This record gives sequence, C-alpha cells and structure tokens, in this order.
Amino acid sequence: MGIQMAIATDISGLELATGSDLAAYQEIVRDEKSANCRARWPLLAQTAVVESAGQSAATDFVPVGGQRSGLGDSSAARVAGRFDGVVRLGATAGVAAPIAVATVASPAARVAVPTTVSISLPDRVAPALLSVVTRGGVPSNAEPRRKAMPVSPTRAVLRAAPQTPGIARTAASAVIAQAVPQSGLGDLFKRLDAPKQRGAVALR
Amino acid sequence: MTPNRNVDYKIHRDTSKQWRRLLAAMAQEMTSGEPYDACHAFSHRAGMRYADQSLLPDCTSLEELEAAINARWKLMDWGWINLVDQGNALLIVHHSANNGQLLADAFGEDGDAWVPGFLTGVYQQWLAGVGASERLRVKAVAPVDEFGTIEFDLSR
Repeated sequence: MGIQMAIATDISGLELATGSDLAAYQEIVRDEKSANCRARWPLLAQTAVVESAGQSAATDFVPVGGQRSGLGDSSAARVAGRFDGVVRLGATAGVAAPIAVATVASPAARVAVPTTVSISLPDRVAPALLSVVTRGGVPSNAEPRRKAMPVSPTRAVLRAAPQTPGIARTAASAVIAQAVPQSGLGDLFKRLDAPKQRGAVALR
Repeated sequence: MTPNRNVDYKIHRDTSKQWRRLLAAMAQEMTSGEPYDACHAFSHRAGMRYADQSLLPDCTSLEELEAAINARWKLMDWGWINLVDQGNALLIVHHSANNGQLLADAFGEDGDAWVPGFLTGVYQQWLAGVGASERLRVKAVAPVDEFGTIEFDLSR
C-alpha cells in the first residue's frame, strides 16, 4: 500500500484511547492528529494557495539571492503572488524528493516570476532556496517564454522534499481542475475518442 | 480533498465486524497462488458486473456524473471521487478507496491486488453507460496511496 504514514493506525490508537466517546475522539483527532500531520508535512497546511483576484499581486517569491523573512512555520510555503508558469521546487541540493504539489492560478502574467523561492522544510532550520522553472523547464527569468504564456488561468507546481504520493495528490487535487473548461459529456467523450493530433500538449 | 476531510472521513468508517473474516478469507483465497493478472481480470469483471447491477442515472455533464457516482459510493461507504477533464483524458481520482480501515482490517495488502481492478471495471461500465465509446478505456494510472486514493483515466 505504498508508504505507510499510518494515519489509519493512528486513528485506531485514538479509538482505543477514547473508547466509544466519539466527541472526545473527534476532538483529539482534529486538535492533535491534524496538528501532528501538519507538523510532519508543513506544506499540507497550504493547499489553498490561490489568492483571490482582488488581492495584491505582490509576491512572496524573492529574486535570486534574496531572502524572505518569517519562514519556519507551516505558512512557509505560502504563495501569495499570482504569476504565470510552473514552479518546480526540489532541484536544490539536499532536497531528495518532492514533499507536496500545489497549484497556483494565474489570471494575469504581469508579475515577474522569480528564479528562486525560499521554503521551509520540516527537517531544516534555515529556509531553503529552491530554483523555479516554468512549465516547459525553462528558467523563470526567461522573458520570451513567460510573455508567451496564456493569460487564462494556468497552474504552478510546488515541490519540495520529502513527500508521499497521497500528500502530493491531496495538495494537488484541491486545485487540479481549473485548466480545462467543462463541457457536456457527449462533447467530452467525442473529444477523448478523437484521434490524437501530433504535437498535442498534455495538460498535466 | 483536504487532509482534514481525509481524516474526518476515516473517523466514521470501520469495516463491518460481521463480514470482516469472511472478506479476509475470500481475498486471501483470491490472491493466493494466482498470478496478479488473473486476480486483476477477475476483479475487473466483478467490477463490471457490479456496475451493471448499480446503474447510474442519466447524466449530461461532468458535474452530474461525479455527483451520481459519489452517491453510489456514499451508499457503500466507499470514499468519493473527483472527475477532472484533462483535455486528452478524463481523470478519475477515487479517494479513500480502502474505505478507512478496510484494507488493514479485512483485506490486508491483498486489497491492492484487486481493488484497482474492480474499480476499473466499475468505471469502464459506468462510463460506457453514459456514452463513452468502446475505444475509450479506463486504466489505473497510479497505485493506491496511503490515503487510499487511486487515480484512473479514461482515454484511447
């Protein structure tokens, strides 16, 4: 069953501890276990990374060599800015595998995409500076590529270390369905059934 | 979809004590000594049979289809799904497919051998019933994760 993060086991333990008192059980689960989960996986607490359109376009990302203050808690991975492109975190030395995937809507491509971003990891005291690339693997400071991106909502992916498949999937699923407009089932099945065209671009 | 929802869902779920041992024995027999393909094929056919016995209502949109499928799974306490139009495929994300403690208590690790196949058969049949052509096939695209989430897609 893959990596055993033992949530079900943890819950079983809680059940034994609280007997049939469901209220106490739920309270402990919410207050204690959820907190533990967030402590283990800080990025887990940051699935809602999409800012509303009315908020400032200022970004928490910092340019190369920059430094961001206030890191160290579960809000470390917060992405406040809106930008256009895919951000992949995890290529930095010492970051062995992704920890979470988040998607960021980008109604406008006017905000400059930084080339690195500071992010706090559970086992690191100091924030890590992680490189940022666009969807096609192009460095985020590649101006022509960024200008060519569409203005419509797109996705950005944050990855850091370490992760389990469920964590990544959980974080991603909250915002995964924004790229493709909905259509009727008949149209959908016709489109899926159509022969694939060469050069078609996968959305994920 | 949030972690809290994953935890909250499991709070209220438990394997039926009435059927736990029976299910365990059946699952072990189904998976012992048999090649994985045979188990997968068997569970796939069982899933199609289940879908035939639990038809979906008419659906005209992805949202309606998702709601109809979720209504079916809710009756069975078998998690919930999200349908995502990816442009060239329809992604089916089935959350809590291990039904809380179902895998641990009744099926153990054997569930991994047949649950994806069963659900593949179910979705294949359901989607065919709402208009998907025979050329479109449902395939598991990711293994069961620690939350019991499985991803399938419908594509050529």
